[in-house]
Amino acid sequence: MIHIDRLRYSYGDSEVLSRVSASIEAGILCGLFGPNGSGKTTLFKCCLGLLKAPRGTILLDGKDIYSMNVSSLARIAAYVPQEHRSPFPFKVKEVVMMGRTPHLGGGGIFRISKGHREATLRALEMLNILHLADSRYDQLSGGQRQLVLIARAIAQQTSILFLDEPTSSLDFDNQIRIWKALRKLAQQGITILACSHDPNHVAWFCDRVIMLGRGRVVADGHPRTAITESTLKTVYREKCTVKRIDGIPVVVPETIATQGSSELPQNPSRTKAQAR
Amino acid sequence: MTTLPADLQANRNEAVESKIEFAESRKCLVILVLSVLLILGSVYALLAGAYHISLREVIAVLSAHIFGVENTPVDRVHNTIVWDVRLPRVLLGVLVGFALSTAGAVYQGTFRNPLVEPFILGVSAGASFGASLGILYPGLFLNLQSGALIFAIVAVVLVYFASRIDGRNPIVNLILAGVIVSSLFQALVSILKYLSDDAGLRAIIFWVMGGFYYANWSDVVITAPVVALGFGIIWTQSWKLNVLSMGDDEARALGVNPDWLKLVVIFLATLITAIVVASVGIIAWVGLMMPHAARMILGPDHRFVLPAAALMGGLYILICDTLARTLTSAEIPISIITSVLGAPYLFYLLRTRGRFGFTE
Repeated sequence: MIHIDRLRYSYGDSEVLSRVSASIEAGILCGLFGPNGSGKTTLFKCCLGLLKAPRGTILLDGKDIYSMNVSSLARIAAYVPQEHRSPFPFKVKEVVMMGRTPHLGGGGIFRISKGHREATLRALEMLNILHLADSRYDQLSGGQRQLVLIARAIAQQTSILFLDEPTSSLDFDNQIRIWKALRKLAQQGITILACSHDPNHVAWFCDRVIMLGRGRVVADGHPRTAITESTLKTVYREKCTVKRIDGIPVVVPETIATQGSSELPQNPSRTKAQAR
Repeated sequence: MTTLPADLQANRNEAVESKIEFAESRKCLVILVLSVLLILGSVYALLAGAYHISLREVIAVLSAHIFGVENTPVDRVHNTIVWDVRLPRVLLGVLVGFALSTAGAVYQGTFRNPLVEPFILGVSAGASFGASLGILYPGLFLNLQSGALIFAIVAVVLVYFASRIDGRNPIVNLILAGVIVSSLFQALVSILKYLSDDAGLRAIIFWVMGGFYYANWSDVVITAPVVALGFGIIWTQSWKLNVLSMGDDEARALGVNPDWLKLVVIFLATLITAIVVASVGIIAWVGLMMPHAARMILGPDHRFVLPAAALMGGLYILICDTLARTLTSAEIPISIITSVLGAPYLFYLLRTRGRFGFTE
């Protein structure tokens, strides 16, 4: 469970988050949606204790994050970063094993016990990437790397999961794969907050959407009610239309929706003919 | 793509799983082999030298000291050479290798940069200045070592405070402050060289080149506990160093406090570097090379890299120092040997970059 109450954050004079409040129940896959600069990343960093907000409270599973030390916080919430590079050629299994760190007690100096290996392998298995266990993490493709980082968060066995743009640099197939994996995790009772640029992904896969615009919550609720033409208008300058295909909402730029195919790239032969 | 029936899928997973091992036994074996090599190397270093002493006589001297002098009569010359000259030198060499390699591994891991070495925070420049002061004004310090140690610490403290912003020490600031403080102290050393007479100049140059000429038991007794304790504490943090190498934010999200961990390990790495530099001067390349070599053999896991680098560093200094004192009738400064042997290795590393040790 995530509970955010009247959170404020500023970088110098510019306020990035102004009185943001939200409450997300256990087992919900919640999308945090908003354009660049809307404060998504700042909100994330505050929730993970990476930034200290001067005003407001954040409770994770009912505990104030600022009253917890780094290691107890890491037993409650896991973080899947967006872009990732390691300077060392760790193996996939070692990267996923790092998720066990908050549970290692003394710091896991020497032998890592069987239970921790089990948890590592289960996490890989859950995402069907067990075959990558012995590959070098730095040589994987972007999609595989993202899956490995999610596996690491699963191995961390927390009740809350934060994902920063989990699909932004991936191809279509991998995007769908990641969202399906997240749905599976939410079904197991894990609370997930995933930020995304893509209104369609959020509308299709999330149980709930929090839409941020200029540091404020613009809409909060089921995707059908949160992602509408009027809410999109408040965050984007470009107007959008929400179409429905068999009841599934699809967000389309208005220019495309109204003028139809004439705005789309033309068939090359026709373009040539017009040029003459 | 076809989907396998559930039970077949499970079987396949088990088959894959049984192949995944965490390969710790192999890595432990490598470390055991390195330890044995280090012991053999030490014994060879006790035998090697201008004055020929047999293995039996070396053992006689050692057992006389370890099990009591009365039991076995020992030749006094042998005793002096083995116990008072060669043994402290061998032990000090191993300690220096341990300290510099451990510090190198820590710096490379925490700075997430393959090119850093233990002297990056100004330890060597500070120590050179302290030692030069001690050479020119002998009454100033208790001895050369203490002068070197004091200024090594002064340099690092300066770097620490110069790089501190908002309660943190960003890595870039640390490195830049290290460069600034190092060049400041190097300039100060140049002033001292300029003011010095010929004998003093010669002494400064030899000190800076580093060497084990004057190694004695008091050096070993002062250095050993500091290096052992420093290494021990750093080793207990080695898994967290793996996590830290992923970056500060991730380390925090994985339950490791990056600021605190960096402070502890960098402090200890700097302390053990300062203490060995103060007693033997600046010995080049070891701290840069050995962590790379350890990673090439064992992979990047610091739990194994740290002890392997330390053992290899000890062995490397032992070999270089033994060559330094036996190749010619006069002694060659050890840094010349560590560099001449080290440069080809680093060339090799440069040519194969990306394949081993570091990504990118």
